[in-house]
Amino acid sequence: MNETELISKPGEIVLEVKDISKVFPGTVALQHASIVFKRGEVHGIIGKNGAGKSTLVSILSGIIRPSAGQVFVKGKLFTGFSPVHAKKEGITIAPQRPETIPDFTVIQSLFLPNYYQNATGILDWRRMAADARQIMKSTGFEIDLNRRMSDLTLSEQQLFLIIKAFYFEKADIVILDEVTTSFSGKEQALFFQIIEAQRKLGKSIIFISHRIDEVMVICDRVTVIRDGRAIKTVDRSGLEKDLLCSLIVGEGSGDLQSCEIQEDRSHQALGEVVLRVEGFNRRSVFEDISFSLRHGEILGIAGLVGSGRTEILKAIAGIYPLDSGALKLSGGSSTRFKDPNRSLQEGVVYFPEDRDEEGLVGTLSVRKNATLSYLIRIAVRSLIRQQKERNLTRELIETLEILTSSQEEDVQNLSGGNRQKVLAGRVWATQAKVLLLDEPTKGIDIAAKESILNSVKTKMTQIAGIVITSPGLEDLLSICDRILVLYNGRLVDEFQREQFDEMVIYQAIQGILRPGANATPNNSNEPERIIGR
Amino acid sequence: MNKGVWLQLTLLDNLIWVLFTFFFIIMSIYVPNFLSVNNITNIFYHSSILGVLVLAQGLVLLTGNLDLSVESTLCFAPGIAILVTNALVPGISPIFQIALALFIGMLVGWLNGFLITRLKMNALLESLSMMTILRGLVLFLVPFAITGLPQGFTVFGNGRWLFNIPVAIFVMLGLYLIFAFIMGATRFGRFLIASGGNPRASFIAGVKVNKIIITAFVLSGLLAAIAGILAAGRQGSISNAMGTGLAIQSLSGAILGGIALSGGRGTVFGMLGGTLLLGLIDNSLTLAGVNVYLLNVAKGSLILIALVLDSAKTIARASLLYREKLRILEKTGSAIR
Repeated sequence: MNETELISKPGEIVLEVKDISKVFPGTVALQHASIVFKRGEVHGIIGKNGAGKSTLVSILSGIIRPSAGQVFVKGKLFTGFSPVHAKKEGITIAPQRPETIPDFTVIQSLFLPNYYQNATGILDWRRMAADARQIMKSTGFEIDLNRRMSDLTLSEQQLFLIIKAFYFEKADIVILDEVTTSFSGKEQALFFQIIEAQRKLGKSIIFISHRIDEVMVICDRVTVIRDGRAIKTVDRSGLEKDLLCSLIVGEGSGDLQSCEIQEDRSHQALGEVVLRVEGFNRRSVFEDISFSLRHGEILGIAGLVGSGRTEILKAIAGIYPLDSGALKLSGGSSTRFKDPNRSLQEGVVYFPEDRDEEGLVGTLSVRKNATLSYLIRIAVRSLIRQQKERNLTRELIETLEILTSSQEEDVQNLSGGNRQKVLAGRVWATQAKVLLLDEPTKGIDIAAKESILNSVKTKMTQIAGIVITSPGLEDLLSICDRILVLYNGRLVDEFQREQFDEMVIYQAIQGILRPGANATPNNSNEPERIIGR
Repeated sequence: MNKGVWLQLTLLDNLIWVLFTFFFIIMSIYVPNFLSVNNITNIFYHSSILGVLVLAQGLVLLTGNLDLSVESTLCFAPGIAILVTNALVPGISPIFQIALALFIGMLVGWLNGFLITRLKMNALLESLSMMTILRGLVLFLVPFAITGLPQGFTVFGNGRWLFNIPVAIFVMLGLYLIFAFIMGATRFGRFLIASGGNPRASFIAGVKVNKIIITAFVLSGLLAAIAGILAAGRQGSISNAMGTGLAIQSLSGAILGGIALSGGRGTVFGMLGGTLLLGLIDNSLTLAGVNVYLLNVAKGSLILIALVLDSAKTIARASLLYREKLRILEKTGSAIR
C-alpha cells in the first residue's frame, strides 16, 4: 500500500477488537473489551497495572490467542495469532524493553533481516547507508551508522527501534508498549515529532502508557481500561486529567478496603525511628530523597515505573550507587553501606523486585535459600547447626504457608507465589530492623499476595520497620501506615493513613498535586524529564 | 515423604554411584583378575592423583568457573619448591619443601581468583593462559627432570601404611572427607555453592561472592600442589611433562560426578564417584587387553552417557516431586497455589 492511498482515506477503521475476553487460570485478564482503531490516529490505551493492557498488546501483536471475541484487521477477521501473521498484516510492536544485538552496528540492525542485495547476492551496504542516512536525517535522530548497538544508551536504543518499526518495517499499525519509560529529554522530543509526522502519513499508532500527561500530549483518542474492561474512549476535545484519573481509578473503590484494615492495626503504636534517609541523590535518577521510618511502621513508596522506586531501595542497601546522601540507623551516626553484606550486618535487608535473577538461587533447595541471609547475619559459628536450620525452615514454611513437597526440593520447582514466599522467609529470618520490600506482590496470584501482605502486616511489623513498594496502589492502601509519592525521582507528597484516598494519591503519582503539597509540582503538559532506568 | 519416593530420589541424586555399581558388577563377572584385593587397591592408587585434581576442579566448577591451570600447577608448585630450596638452603627438612610447594600452589590459585573476580577475566581464557605460562616456566627451569628427592617428600606418593595400603589412597580419601564436611556443614561451603548457583542473588543476599570465589581458587591451587607431591612421589622425580593432559581429565571426572558446568549444583561425594568410575574403566579395560586408544573412546563415551543421563535425571526428579506435591495436596485438601 503506498502513501497516497493511505492519505486518501483518513478516519477509516483499520483495526477492531470486538468483545474480546481472555481468561488465564485464576484470573480474567480481559472481559468483553471492544475498541476501534482508526487510520491516522494516535490511540492511547491507559490503565493501572494489571488492568489488562499487556494482555491486549499480546493479543494484537499475535503472541496469545483470545479466549473469546474477534479481531478485525482492515475489515478482515484476524485468525493467525502468531507474530509472523501480525507482521504480514502490517502490525508491528516496539516493546517496553529494547532488545537489540549488542555487537551489531546501527546500520546492520536497521535493515535486519531485509538487507539490500545486488544481483549476485552480495550485500549492498552503500545503498543501505544512503537510504539510512536520508531517513535518519528526516527524523532528526542524527546518529553515527557505524556505532555499535551496545554503545547506545537505553533511551537511544528505544528510539532506534521505534524508527525501525515506522520507517524500515513499513508497518501501518504500530503498537508502542510503554516505550517512553526509558526516554531522556532529547529522545522524547524527537519521539513526539516522529509520532506527529507518522500520524499525518496516515499510520495508526497504538500508544500504551500509564503516564497521563504524555497521553494528553500526543493522543487523538484515549481508551481507559480497568479490571479487564474497556471502560470508555475519550476524544481529544474531552481529554482532561481529572476525568482520566477518575476513569482509571474507578469510583470510590479504594476507600472501603482501607478503612477496614485500619482497624486491624490501630491498636499498634509505632516505636522509635529505626532508619533516617538524608538527602539521597543520584544524577538523573532521583534527587533529594529524605524520609524516616519507625519501628513497626509500614511505609509505602508509590510511583510509576521508572520513577526511581527500586533504585532508592537498592541505594539504601548498598546495591545501587549514590552521588551524595547518608542514612542513620537508630542510635547510630551517619553512614552509607558499601555492599549488601554490610547492610545486612547492620540489620537493613533488601527484598529484590526481580525474584529469580536477583533473589533466589534456583539450583538450591528451599531450605538453603530460606536460610542464606540468616547464616550470614545470625549464625555466629562457621559450622551450620543442621537441626536448628531444619527447625527454622519448618517454621518459615508453616508461617508463610509455603507449598513444597519438602525442605529439600529445588526452589526452582516451586510456583511463582511460593518462590516469592521463600524469598519473604529469607528476609524475615534475618531478624533485621529495617526491611526494604521491593514489589513483594509482583506477578503472583491473589491467594499468595494476600498471604504475603498478611505476614508483612502481622509478623514483620513485630520486629522491624518496613518500606514497601508495589506495582499497584491497592496493596499499599491496604497495609501502609503512610505513603510517600515519588514522581520523576522526587518525593512530591506524603499521605498519612487517615488521608488515604486512591484517587488523590493516583493523581499525585501522575504529577497532579493537591493544593498544599510539600514539593513544587510539575504541572506543565510536557513532561520535563523522564527517568532512565 | 514416603519411603518409596525417598529411595527413588536418593538413587537419582547419586546416579554416578548407581553407574559405578553397575560397571563394577559387570567387570567383576567378565574381566579376569578384576575382583581381587590387589586390583581394587590398584584402582584406588591409580585414581589418587586424578582424584585430588577432580576435587580441585570440582570446587571451582561449583562456583560457576573453570580452572585449567591445575595440571600445570601440579608440576610447577613442587618443582619450584624443590629448585628454590635446593639452591638456597640445601639439605633443609622435606617438611619445609612441602610447605613451600603448597604455598606456591595457593599463590597461583589466588592470582587466578584475583584476575577472574577483580579484573573480570573469563575463567576459561584466564586459566588457559595460566596453564600455558606455568608449563612454559617449568619447561624452561627444569630441563628434563629433578631427581634425588628426599624420602620425606616422596613418601606420600610411594609409601605404604596400614595393611600395606598406599599412603596416597589415605591422602585422597582424607581430602574427600574434609571437603565433604566443608561443603556439607560449614557456612563457607553453603556460600560457595550459592555463589555458583546465582552470583547476583547471592551478592544481594549478603554473600561476599568475590571473596568466596577467590578462596575456591586458592583451595584449587592448594589441592593441585598436593596432587603434584603425590605424582612426584610416585615417579620418584619431578619431570617437566608431569600432569600434561590432566586438566581435561579432571573436568571429565567432575562432570561425570554430576557437577554442573554452570555452577551451583553437585556434591563432593559425586566427584569421588566420577573419579573412581574413570579409574575403574581404565583399569578393567586395560586388564581385558583393550587397545589404549579405544580406552579413550570408552572414557569419552562415558561422559556423553553421563550428560544424557543428567538431563533425564532432572526431568525425572521434577516429575517425582510434582507427584509427591499432588499427593500432599490431596491429603490436606488445600488448593494448588
